[in-house]
Amino acid sequence: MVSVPTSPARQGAEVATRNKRSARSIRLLRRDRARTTWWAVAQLAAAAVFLAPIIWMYVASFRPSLDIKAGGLIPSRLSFDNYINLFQLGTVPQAFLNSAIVAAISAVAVTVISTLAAYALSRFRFRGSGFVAGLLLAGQLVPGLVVLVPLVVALRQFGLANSLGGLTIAHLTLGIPIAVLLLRNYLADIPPALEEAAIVDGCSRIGALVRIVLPLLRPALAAVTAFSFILSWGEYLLALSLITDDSKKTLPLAMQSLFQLYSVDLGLVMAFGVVISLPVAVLFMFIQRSFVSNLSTGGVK
Amino acid sequence: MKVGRTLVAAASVAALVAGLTACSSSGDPSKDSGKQTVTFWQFDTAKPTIKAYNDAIAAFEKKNPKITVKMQIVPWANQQQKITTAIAGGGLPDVSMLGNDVVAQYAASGNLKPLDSYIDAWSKEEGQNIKDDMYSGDTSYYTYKGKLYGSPVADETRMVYYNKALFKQAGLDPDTPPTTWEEMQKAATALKSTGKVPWAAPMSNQYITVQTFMSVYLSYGAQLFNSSGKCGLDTKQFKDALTYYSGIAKAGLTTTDAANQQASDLDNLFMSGGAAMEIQGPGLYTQIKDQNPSLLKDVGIAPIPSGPKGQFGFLGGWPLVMWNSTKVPDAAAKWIHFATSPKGGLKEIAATSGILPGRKSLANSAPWNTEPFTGFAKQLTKAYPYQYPAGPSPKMGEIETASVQTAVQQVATGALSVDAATKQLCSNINGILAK
Amino acid sequence: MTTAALRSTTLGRSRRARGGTNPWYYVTPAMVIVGLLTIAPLFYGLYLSFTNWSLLHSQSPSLQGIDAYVAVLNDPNFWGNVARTVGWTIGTLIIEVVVAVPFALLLNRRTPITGTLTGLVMIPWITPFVVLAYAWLFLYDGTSGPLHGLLHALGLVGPASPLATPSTSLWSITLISGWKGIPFLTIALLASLKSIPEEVYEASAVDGANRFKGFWHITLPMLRPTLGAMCVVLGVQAFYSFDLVWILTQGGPGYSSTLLGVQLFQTFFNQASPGQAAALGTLMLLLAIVLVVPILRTTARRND
Repeated sequence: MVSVPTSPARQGAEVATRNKRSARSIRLLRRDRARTTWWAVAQLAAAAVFLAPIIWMYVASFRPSLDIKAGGLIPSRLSFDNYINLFQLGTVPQAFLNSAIVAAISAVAVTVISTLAAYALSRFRFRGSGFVAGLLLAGQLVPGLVVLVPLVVALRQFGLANSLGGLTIAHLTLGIPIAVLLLRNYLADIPPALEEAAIVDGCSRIGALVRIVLPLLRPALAAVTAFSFILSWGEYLLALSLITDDSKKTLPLAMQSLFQLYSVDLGLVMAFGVVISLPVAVLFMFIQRSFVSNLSTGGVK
Repeated sequence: MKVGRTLVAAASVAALVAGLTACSSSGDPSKDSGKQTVTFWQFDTAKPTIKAYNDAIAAFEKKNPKITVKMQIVPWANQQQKITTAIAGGGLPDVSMLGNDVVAQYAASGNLKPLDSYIDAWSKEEGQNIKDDMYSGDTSYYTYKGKLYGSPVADETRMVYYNKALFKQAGLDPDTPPTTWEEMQKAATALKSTGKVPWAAPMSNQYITVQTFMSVYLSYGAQLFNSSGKCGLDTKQFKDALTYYSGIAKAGLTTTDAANQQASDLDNLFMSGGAAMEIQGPGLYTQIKDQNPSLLKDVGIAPIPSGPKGQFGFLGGWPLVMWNSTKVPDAAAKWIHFATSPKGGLKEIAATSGILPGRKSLANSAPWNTEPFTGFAKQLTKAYPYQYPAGPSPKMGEIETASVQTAVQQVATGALSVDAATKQLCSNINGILAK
Repeated sequence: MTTAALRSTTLGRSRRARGGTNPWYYVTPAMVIVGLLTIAPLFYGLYLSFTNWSLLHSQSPSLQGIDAYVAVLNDPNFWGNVARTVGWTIGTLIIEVVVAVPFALLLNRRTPITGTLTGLVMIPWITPFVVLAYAWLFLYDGTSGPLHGLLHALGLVGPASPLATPSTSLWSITLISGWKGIPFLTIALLASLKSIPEEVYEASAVDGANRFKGFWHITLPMLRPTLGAMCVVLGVQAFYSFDLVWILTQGGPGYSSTLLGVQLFQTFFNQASPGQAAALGTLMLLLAIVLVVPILRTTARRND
């Protein structure tokens, strides 16, 4: 129970009004709290319905396949068997490694390349900057499918088809447009005066970028790297079209082969789904806040 | 300091990328170690088959310590796409299986190496003329413009697997399985009372559908090509066959999701006792023995039912072929010979994976002179290609992926009438033939 | 204000600063990547589309005029695929907008769990298509799929999986496609909701506007530019979809879920005809431009 502060009588009418006011604000506060609780419940319910398929997959990965097939949403028994069986298949760790290599290298390369471009676009006004920005962002509107045929044919001519190197290069296109967009918005929030001061102190432009801007940009760089990583990690079409060798398969391809071999073993397939999706989900939770706030300032403008 | 670190990082990334590219495009490890690697695509996903090939590879590598065989499983359902990807983008294997009906197609496109000179050498080694030991059907399938492009592994045909226990339960005599398509449908209708799937009949857009359905349409007297070499399916015979087969789905006699299921889904259903009948090859018997042996006592295997024009089994089969892009032709040839020779690994491969070997001398010996293989061997004498009575067509691969099973799927799911589906099917086939 | 002032001095000085002042040094790597991997293939594709190259008939392309275009346009399924692709794109966008707008309004209420939930809700968007496809394949399964059970009980689908039924296969995959895109749109909307100043609502409350009116007359117009831009991005993505359909039905049963993306892939890989596939790709690009330009025009006008 919240106590309403009493006050000496000498303050008279003034105090009375103040009391009235604070009582009202406390009522409001209480009502707000109740409301907030209701909003939280509503948010939770909506999110639960929305995420139901994902939740179902995660739960199914711990159930024996026969139980899943028998129907029934509430599991009667849970086990790690599916995961144990999964990692006994040699192809799974290999695919994990392949995906990690391709995604990590392409993500780092995308970040480096995009940071440079975004820096130029945000700090210099030069003839052709509009064209450059347009061209880089247009990549977002030209999906993989459009350039699939020529890209596969061209990579073949350079001997880069069916290789992780070729796939890494092809994956560079996935991240650059959005990375440039996001980084340009982050950079707009960093006052150029800071670099100016460094340049006056005798730094080169690049020195100022590396010493002053990059440290300030760290959360943004993390977000962009992680995001490019996520894009490459789950990419299916280019991988499907470029990779034929089992030992070079990335996770999405490995999951498809697993399904073709063990389609009856639902639990196993779902466990693989979790193994693929969990790392990127965790990664995303880390960058979520800075990514979301910047998409807001950036993606929309 | 920081600049230095960034440079180091950038340099190491560059080195990594370069290393990655280098290691993945260097396809010829023979130079550095004297060891040769033969990549081999194997299309069968059944566990006994994979084991059989792994054993054969181990035996082969023991005999040929300088050669390593790298097997890769490319499911039948994917092989067409994988091969095209590899032709377009590189990465073809040295050796692969190939469906008998598409050998001519890839021979015509210049992607396969003729095997004649190798086969002559192997004949001397084996002390018998290998071409005489092959079935004539295979020889004609694997020959293009006078050259032989495949060394046979297996021949295959389909029969009716049925569950005797479920037959009894439905009041049917387990010793008199259906012999005509009409009886098959009657039995399926009776089997509905068991609560199981009466006939796991495929209706999807995958190979298994046309491989089952072709026995129906050929037995109704329909032909893929007419006398002028165009689509010959726009006939009453074909429409009757399509009406019959899609009727199985419409009457609820197959699985509810038959239109979107893989062959392995249906196999597993039969193996677990969830379906009373399925048309499949000898491999299923081996799989049951491997995975659910308790079912074996209830499994009956009967010849393919007849239609108005007789009995027509499916003529399957696959050779090993050598792709033209190989850099290790001699090592590849050695592996092909080992895997397809009765004196090498063929006997083990065929026996473990439960298929009929593509060599007559082997097919006449144990275990193929016992049941169920004798039954399949007998059925094989009444097995025909899809395009019977026409010969192999270099367009078969395209026709296969784009047509008959799609028509079945459309009619079975009620998307199109028999007439409309047939019309569309023929316009598709004629379109491909006209290219 | 101050930033603008600062920037103008920066520009003034940066021109004078010595090392690394040429902006082209900075943008060249990105330009090279985009040029080589997006723009050049676009033109190479245009070239290939005039070759009618088939891997089964020739080892290298040679110019053949418009044969490939004629073949694509004569394909009896082409226009059906166009219609399905347009329907699929619009359907995906409708699902995304109809769910994401209320979702964003809901998440815009600050509660102790908002931050965590906003992150969790993004999971479908960052989960690879392949993973989602197999999960949904089982959810829709005709014998044991829980979602099929629900839809069947509601009388929306028959006894078979909606994926195995021609009348439902396309919309049941559209549902997944829309579902996956919802988080992205929600986040974008959430961001632009945050930029609406409180005073605007307070002013409207003083005017006696009720909540719905406030939404209709204030919130929605404010969201419109975001919605427009996002619809273009998500619409283009949906238009070029391939993964989901390919994994779930391969375009079937029959052609009931064949989109242009699937046709392109089949033309290339099953029929081994890069020339025709490139022609189809060019036609798709033209169609995408025709569809996108009006949206861009309307949003641009509204922005003014």
